[in-house]
Amino acid sequence: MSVQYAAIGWSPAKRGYDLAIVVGVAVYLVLFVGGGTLLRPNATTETLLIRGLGTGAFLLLHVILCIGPLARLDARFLPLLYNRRHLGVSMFLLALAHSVFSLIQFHALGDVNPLVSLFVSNERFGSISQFPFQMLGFFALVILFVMAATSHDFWLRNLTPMVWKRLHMLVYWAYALLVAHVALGALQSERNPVLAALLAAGAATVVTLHLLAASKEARLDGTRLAASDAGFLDAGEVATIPEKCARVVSLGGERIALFRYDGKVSAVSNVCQHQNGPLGEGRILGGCITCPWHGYQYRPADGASPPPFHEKVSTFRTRIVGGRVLVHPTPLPPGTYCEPAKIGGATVPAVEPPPKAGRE
Amino acid sequence: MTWYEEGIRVVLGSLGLYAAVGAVFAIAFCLQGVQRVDSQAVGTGWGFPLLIAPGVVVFWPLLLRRWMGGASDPPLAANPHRGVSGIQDREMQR
Ligand code: HEM
Ligand code: FES
Repeated sequence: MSVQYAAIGWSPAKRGYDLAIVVGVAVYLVLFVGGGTLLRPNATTETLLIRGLGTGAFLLLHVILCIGPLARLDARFLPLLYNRRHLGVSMFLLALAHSVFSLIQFHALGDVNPLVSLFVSNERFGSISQFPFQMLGFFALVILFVMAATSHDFWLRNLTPMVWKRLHMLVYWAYALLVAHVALGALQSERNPVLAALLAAGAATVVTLHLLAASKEARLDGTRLAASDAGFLDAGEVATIPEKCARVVSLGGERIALFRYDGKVSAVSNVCQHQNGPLGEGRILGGCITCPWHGYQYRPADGASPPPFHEKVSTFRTRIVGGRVLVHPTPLPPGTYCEPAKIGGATVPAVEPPPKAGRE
Repeated sequence: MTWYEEGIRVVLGSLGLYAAVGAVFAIAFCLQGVQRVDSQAVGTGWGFPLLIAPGVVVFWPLLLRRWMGGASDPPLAANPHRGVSGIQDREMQR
């Protein structure tokens, strides 16, 4: 959460991840092209490179798509989430190289513009084995380009997080297009069933992980809080909230994080102003709620980031009656101070906090 | 030439023109404009404008409008909590 943009917010961990990406991609390409030369002596290096770059990008896309649900299911995957941006840009560069080499190899020989040729050289849309699968790859590439080009925080702020998020959800369309690109392209000429099995296993993994994460979320949103007096709702026992951590409750589909700290409880919106990260899965560090995704911070009592930062989230009124936390469902304007509820003496021990979530 | 091929040429040609205008705009925007529409972009090095340039080629009409409109910062997004608490985007800037 800087007040001035940097090209890249480097940290030692990020350099480590990036090194791992570069080395991983290089090793993969060498193994693919080297192994391919041995296994299929009559394949040209150009063809092997095109296929290596395409499969490399497609594999990375699987990793990227799985990190999200994995991090929701198990906090130990969170560190991977922080570096997803660089993974995404690397994936785009591989996909771009694959596309450019394919265009040069297959569409740059005549006197027609290669891009025009991509669309007009094959119009057998009704055929499965002859389908112009390259077009599907092209549309996927366009989506991946827009995502990579808007990956900087400048775009998050200037397109607004909601629009940015919608734009980046297009990755699922890109994925579907690429599954079709491979199924109607390489699979049609491939006699070896391994490629088809890999494609199916990859898609099954992506879908299953998303369903598991979604059912975990649905369970949370499905629970209704019992009404208490004066419009307050009963959000459960205070003793079950670990010290400096939160419990997330759902009010009419909106999530609220109830943080317990220094003998007090404060409630804020669960939605981080940066990229809608889950604040309630973060913890209180240095007196501030710290988002588990990229570390934006908010004061628990007023939901405002400490100066010089401007982010603010909504706060909610809380009370403690008989060891239970009551929360009022009407949000106060973001950044509004709201007296924290006092837990009252050392009578209510906190449960043990979960293992420390990773931070950038 | 078939109508299909004709159509492809027109669409790709228009997109090319859009991107060409965007590329020219991106030079001006990255050198000057970005600091006018977003206070966090003031005084960064050269790496930052370079990184956002490809996106400017895509979203240049939006940024042109902001630049001409004289806003010093992007609007803040609304979310359901903000909507209920009746806070306008602009007020959130401070
Ligand atoms: C203009 C865009 C694209 C063109 C012209 C294109 C073209 C091709 C061609 C000619 C093949 C070879 C099929 C074969 O060997 O039978 C191929 C395969 C493949 N492409 Fe693309 N592609 C494009 C975009 C993409 C993108 C964006 C991805 C992203 C990951 C991608 C991933 C793949 C994969 C995974 C394969 C299968 C590799 C194999 O085992 O042969 N392609 N593509
Ligand atoms: S989502 Fe990025 S810091 Fe919260």
